[in-house]
Amino acid sequence: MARWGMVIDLARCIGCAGCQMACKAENGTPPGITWCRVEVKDIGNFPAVRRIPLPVQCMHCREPECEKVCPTGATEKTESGIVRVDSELCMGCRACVLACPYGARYFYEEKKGYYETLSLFEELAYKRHRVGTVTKCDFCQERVERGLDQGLKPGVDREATPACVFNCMTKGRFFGDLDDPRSTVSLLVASGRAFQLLPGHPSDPQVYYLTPGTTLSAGGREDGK
Amino acid sequence: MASNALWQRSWGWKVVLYLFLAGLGSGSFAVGAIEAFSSAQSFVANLGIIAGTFLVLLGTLFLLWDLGRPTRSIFALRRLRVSWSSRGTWTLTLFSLFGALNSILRLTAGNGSLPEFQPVLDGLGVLLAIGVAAYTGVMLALMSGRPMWNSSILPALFITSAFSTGIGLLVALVSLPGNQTPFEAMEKWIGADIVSILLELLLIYFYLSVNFARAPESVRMVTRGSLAGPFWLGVLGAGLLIPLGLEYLNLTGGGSPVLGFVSGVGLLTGGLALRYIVVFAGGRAPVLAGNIRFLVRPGV
Repeated sequence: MARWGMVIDLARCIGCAGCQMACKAENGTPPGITWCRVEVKDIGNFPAVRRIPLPVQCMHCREPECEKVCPTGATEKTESGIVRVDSELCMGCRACVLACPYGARYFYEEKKGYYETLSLFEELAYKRHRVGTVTKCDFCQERVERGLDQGLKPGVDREATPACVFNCMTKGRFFGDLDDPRSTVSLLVASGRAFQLLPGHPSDPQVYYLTPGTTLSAGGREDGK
Repeated sequence: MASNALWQRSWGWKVVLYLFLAGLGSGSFAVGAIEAFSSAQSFVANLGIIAGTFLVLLGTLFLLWDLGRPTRSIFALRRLRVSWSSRGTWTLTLFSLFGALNSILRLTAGNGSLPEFQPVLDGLGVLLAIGVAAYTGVMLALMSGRPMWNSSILPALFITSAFSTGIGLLVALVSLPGNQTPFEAMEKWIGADIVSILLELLLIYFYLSVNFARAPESVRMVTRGSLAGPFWLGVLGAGLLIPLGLEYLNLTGGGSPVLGFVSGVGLLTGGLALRYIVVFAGGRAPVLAGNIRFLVRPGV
């Protein structure tokens, strides 16, 4: 069984939020719910300032805090390491939303679309979200599993890879099996550039980041200066 | 903008009311049940147990109302082994069942006709009441991403406040005109409350000073920012210092039922303000990416 993980190269991220939009299109999340999103922060003092993007989403922690607080067992960690919410069991208490140190969870409060009436896309897409429950990124589990059934390789083949990864226009996102030492994600995690958010936190995220300052990316951007 | 991020937004006033009512109810129940060990059917014992049970049940209604899908709440009994929320659900359920049984027995029993197992029921109720008062504190204290909650002082603060507000309610009710029970019956509880107020002052001091080291902005929000009113006027003024003074007067002979009533209402106000502050000051700590702190704000 694979242990799915992701690597996000901050040296390649230009903060375009394409991942956020790809996720919206793939998962049809309602307004206010962005399973994958890009936070930005301005650093430095004028005129030497920079805007730094940080794509965030569910970290699919090995020791998920959300799972420990869930009273109903709606949040569970699958064998392949995906943390998911069973909306049949979720009672919408939001303890997990509060427990997640990464702000990755959303409470789906009411059914409303982006426009006055629901578009055809919204009519169809919102069926998978249940009002009154908590939702979050599931590493495009359905897509990955469908791809595997077709004999495709997640992280390599587009049809078996999460939407945010294959839509990243700077190729700054990687997906794959962290238990396979030769997978791209494993090699990147072992590269010495990888770090996790909240270093030392016991949750042990399975989404890693690569530092922006130590490498030239294929896109030709200089190393963080 | 920064202060917005320090504000906790997932839980609102219904949870504040639940925390207040559950604390108040469990405190009142505990006082009544302890009183019942010495005089099984005294007014204070009956009132504490019956009103306490009722208030916890009322609070639970707010908790259920706050759920996205209240009909699924039965599932919250499933994860007793790991989840404090589930353990709390068990405690709350058992407290409600035994509390309701206890109340019905007391309401229907004639003088001296409580069953023999009544002290067992009262004692069990006290243990469950402590559980009801404490579990929410433990649950919040384990949330590592929220500095104002992630504090082992919180359960102790919740228990102390529950006990103190419970006494406050009973003192206020006994002070009401037309009540047969002499106000002196509450003297030992007023003494106990003075001790718990002093303890609560100490706990609040430690709570804020320990948190100041790791979340100064959140503590400033409580002492000088958007939560300063409820903190200084509600928690410290109405909830602790004024009742402390009035209760001291009551014990040293200068008191009256009127002052008792005022101190009781003050204690309740303070208990509500404390839950309000704790709930809304529980914003998420920034996420560290390397050495850069990002305030993550989902839903934007």
